[in-house]
Amino acid sequence: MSERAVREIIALIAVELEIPESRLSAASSTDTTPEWDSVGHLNICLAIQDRYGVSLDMDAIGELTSVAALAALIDKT
Amino acid sequence: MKTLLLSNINMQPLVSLLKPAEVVCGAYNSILMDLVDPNSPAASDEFDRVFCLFDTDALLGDVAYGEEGPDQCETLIAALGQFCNRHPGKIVIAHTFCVSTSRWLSFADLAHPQSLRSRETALNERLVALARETTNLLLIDLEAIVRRHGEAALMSSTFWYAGRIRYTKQMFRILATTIQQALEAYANRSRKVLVLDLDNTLWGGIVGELGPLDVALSEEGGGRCFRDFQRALKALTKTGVLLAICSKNNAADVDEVFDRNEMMILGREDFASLRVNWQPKPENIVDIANALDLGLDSFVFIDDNPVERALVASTLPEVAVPEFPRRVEDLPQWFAREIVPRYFGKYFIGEEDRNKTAQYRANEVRRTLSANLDLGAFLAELGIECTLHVDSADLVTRAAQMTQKTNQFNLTTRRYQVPDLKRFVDSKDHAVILLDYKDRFGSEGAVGLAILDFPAGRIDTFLMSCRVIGRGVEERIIGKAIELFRQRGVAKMVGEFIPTRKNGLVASFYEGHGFSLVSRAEDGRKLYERIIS
Repeated sequence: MSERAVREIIALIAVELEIPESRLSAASSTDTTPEWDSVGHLNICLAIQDRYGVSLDMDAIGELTSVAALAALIDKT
Repeated sequence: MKTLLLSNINMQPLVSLLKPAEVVCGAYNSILMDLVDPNSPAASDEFDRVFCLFDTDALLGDVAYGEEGPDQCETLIAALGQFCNRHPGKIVIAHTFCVSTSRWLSFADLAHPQSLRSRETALNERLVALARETTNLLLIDLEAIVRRHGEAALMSSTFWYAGRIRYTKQMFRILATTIQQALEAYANRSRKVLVLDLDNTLWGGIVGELGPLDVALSEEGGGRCFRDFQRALKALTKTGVLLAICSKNNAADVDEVFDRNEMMILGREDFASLRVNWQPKPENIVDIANALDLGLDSFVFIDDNPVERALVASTLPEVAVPEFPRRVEDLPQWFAREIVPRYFGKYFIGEEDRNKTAQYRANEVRRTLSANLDLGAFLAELGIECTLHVDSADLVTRAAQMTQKTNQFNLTTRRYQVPDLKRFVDSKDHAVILLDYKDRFGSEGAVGLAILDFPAGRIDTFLMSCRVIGRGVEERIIGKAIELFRQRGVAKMVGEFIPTRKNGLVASFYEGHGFSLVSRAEDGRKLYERIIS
C-alpha cells in the first residue's frame, strides 16, 4: 500500500467518523478505534464507493475493516 | 431548532449531510410508534422539525411478495395526518411512496388486482390529499428523484443487506439538497427576479449581425433549445417570478424581434422591466432593482457570456449568477432541474403569483400617472378599494409569505412560517389583520399585514407591500388595529421599530402616525406608544 493511499484513507475515515486525523494511523482498524463501529463502517464504505467509483460486495464490507485493507483497495483502483 | 429524523430503515448516513442543521435519528424503525405515541421524542418540544423518510418496500412487507396482510403504508398516512394535526407548530417533511422495480408480478403488475403500481398510485393520491389540507406537512416527490437519477445509481442491495441502508451516497446527497431546497421553498425564501441576457441566451446568435428573423429560434432544428427555454421561462412567470431583460444591443433590433419574429414565445408583456442599451450590466441591474423596488438579493442573472457574469458577480455580490450550460441543448433541462429548484423553488403557488408581472407592469403605469397629477387627485383618480380580513384561516399561507418576503416597509421584520400564522389566527391573544387592495388598474391582492399581541397591547408585526406605499392604505390597518385593541380594553397601543439594512423607509413611520417615542436602544430599536382609550 502506498503512503498516498494511507493519507487519503485516513482523511476520509476522519471525516466519516467525525474524529481528528491524529487519532488514526496506518495501523488503525475497527479493533483500535471505538468510533469505527458498524454504523461508522458502513458510512466509510459508502464514502469509499462514492469517491473511488468501486462497487463493494458484502464480503468486501466485512473484510475491509482496517486502514491497511482500505488503502490496498484504492491502490488497485 | 432541532430536527428528528424518523424512518423504518437506516438513514444515519444522511445526518452529517444535513449540517449545519442539528439532526438526530429516531430509534431504528420507530417511525410509526414515534408518530402515534403522544409521549414520543417526536412529540416533545425538543424538536420543531420532523423528517419522515421511509422505505416503501419495507413498509409493504410481505404484501410486496403478493401475500395478503396488513400494509403499514396505510398506517403511516393515518399516523402522519394525526401527528401533523396534533402538532401544528412542527414542520413535518415526508416524501411520496416509491415502490422498487422488483415486482413479483412482472409484466402482469399493471393490470393485476394486486398490482403494486396501482397500490403505489392510490397511496400517493391519499398522501397528496393529506398534504393539501395539512399546511405543516411538506411533501417531496421521491418518485421524481428516482426517475431522474435511476434506481441503479441510487439504491444498493449490498448496503441494504449489510446494514439496512437502502441508498447510495449519491442518493443521500440528493436527499439532503432536496430537503434543504424544499424547506427554503416552504419558508418562501426563493428569489423573485430573473434577469436575462438576449443574444445566445433567449435565442441563438447575435441579432445585430443576423437580423431579427434569422436568429436561431425555431420549432425545428437547434433553435428549438431556445424556444423551449422561453417556454420554461414563461411557465416560471406563472409561479410569481418576474423576468427582466438586460442586454447590450440596439433597442431597435430587439424591438424588431419582439414585433416580427413569430418564433418568440415571450412577449414584452412577460417582462417586468427591459434594459436594452450599452451601459454596463451591473448599472442596468441596479436600475431594474430600483424600478421594481426589490432588493438585489432577490435577483438571479443568466447570461451566456462569462465576462458579463464575472462582472456582475464581482460588483453585485448579492445577485446570484449561475454558470451557463456548456451545451445549448442542455439549456431547457439545466434550467428546470438546477436553476428553478435552487433559486425559484415554490411550495405554495397562489392566484396572486400568476399575475405578478401584470401587477408590476401596472405599477409602472401608475407611477407615470402620479408624475403628472398632484397626490390627492392621483389617489382619487385611482379609485382605491380596500378590504380588511381579521383572523382569516384561508389567508395564513399568504400572510406567512408576506412576513418572509417584505423587507422595506416592515417595522419589525419578524419572519413567520405558516404554522406560526395559524397559531396567531387561532389564538385569542393575537389577531392577524390582512388588507386586500384594488384600484382601477387591477387587484393587488393582499398587500398589508399587521399582527396584534393583545396581552402586551403591542403591534408585533406591521408591514406593507412596497407596491402600494404612498396611497394612504396604512391608515386603514392602523384604524382596524385601534378598533380591535379597544374591544379588548387596551388603552395604550405599543409600536416598535427594529432597524435592518433595508427598512430605513419606515424608521420614522410611527412618528407620522400619532405615536410618541418612548425609548430608543443603542442598536437603533425604537419603542412607541399611542393612547387610544
